[in-house]
Amino acid sequence: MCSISRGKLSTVLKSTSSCIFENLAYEEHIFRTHNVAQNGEILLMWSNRPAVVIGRHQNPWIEVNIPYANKNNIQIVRRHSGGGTVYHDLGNLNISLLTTHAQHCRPKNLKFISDALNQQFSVKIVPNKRDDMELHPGERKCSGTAARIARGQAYHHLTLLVGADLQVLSKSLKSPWRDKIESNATRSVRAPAVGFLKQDDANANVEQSKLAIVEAYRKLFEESHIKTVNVAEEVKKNAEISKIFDELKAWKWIYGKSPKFQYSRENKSIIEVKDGLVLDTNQQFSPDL
Amino acid sequence: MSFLSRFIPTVTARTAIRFASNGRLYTKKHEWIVVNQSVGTVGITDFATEQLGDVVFIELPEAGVEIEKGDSTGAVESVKAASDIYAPVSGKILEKNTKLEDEPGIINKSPLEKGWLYRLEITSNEQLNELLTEEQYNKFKSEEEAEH
Repeated sequence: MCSISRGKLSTVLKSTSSCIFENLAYEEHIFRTHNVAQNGEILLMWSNRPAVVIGRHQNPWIEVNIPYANKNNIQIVRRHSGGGTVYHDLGNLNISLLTTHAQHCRPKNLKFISDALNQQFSVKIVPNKRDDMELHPGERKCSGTAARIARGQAYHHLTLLVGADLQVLSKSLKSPWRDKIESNATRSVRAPAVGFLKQDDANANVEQSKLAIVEAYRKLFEESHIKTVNVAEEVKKNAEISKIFDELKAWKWIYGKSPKFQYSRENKSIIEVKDGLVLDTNQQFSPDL
Repeated sequence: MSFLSRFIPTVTARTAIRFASNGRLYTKKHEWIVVNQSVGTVGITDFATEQLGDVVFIELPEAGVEIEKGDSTGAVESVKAASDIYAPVSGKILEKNTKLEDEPGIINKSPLEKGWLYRLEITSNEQLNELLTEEQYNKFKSEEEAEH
């Protein structure tokens, strides 16, 4: 595993926003502006209303059941980090760890997090080689990980399913068009089994999970502060964060950023799509075309 | 003239990359650039690709885009981590290596040659003086390795 030494100072930020766009914008802003080497590491946590979040280089038409999501008010979102697609709702806890690039170590993070949760609840969470976390027995995936590295800094963020409606989750992640699209976009790796903490310990809840993780995190540093952040307000009053928020919400980012692909219609003809637009036109792609 | 020309190889852009490894310049972010007249070919080093692991996706800048030194010009994704790549110098993108879009693994196998990322028309030769020579880069690398 990577070197043990951690920094001297860290800050824990608890977001009060349940909007996925606000939280991702805030996370990206901190990543771009907070100087870890000078001002210490950060642990950011939040939960949000239902959303399906795809990785930076993915294709939402492949990964998401878009009609189902739209009908059920599940937001469709593209994040800045790599990796695959995950479903979030208020029973999920998002954890984001900001460090220098040199100190970025996902196995180390997953170890302290799973140890803390295993101690707090009667669960047995085990990180695996793909940096997922699984509930044993049954190897049910309860957490997915992704990372972003730039400018000498990095964040490792992960989901944690404390409570979940597995039917909604499974329906949202199964696109009706996934076999009709050819693309080099990164594809999600379907977990053979999915689970959540409440399955094994009915007392498990998001608040206590947060407390357990925060406590374990703070022990790693000489000095650590906790702050509650009104992220919705931060987004409103800070022009830079607003800009990132607007970018995240735009069709151009969510759909248009998909790597070029080919869609096979029912009649076997093929539509080529680049930047989300039908090739050589200004028309936004839709499988209804 | 004709006697000598038999011994002087025709310098195409590809040959320039192969023969000019001691003309290769580097950045502290593990990018390299080889310049032939005003055209620079940019890539990332084997140190970078080893750190990244298997690359599954490469996001490259489009031809015609103007970039400033230090700008983010795309990203490399490997094992769930998306890492930004930066412009070592300012210029205008001439072409991207489309083969990498179809087969990103080429960058792991041949980061210094077949895995070139893009070519650009450089705007300032002076910026090249700010980059590291191979010797300086190797020294920087061993200092970084000691940190890990």
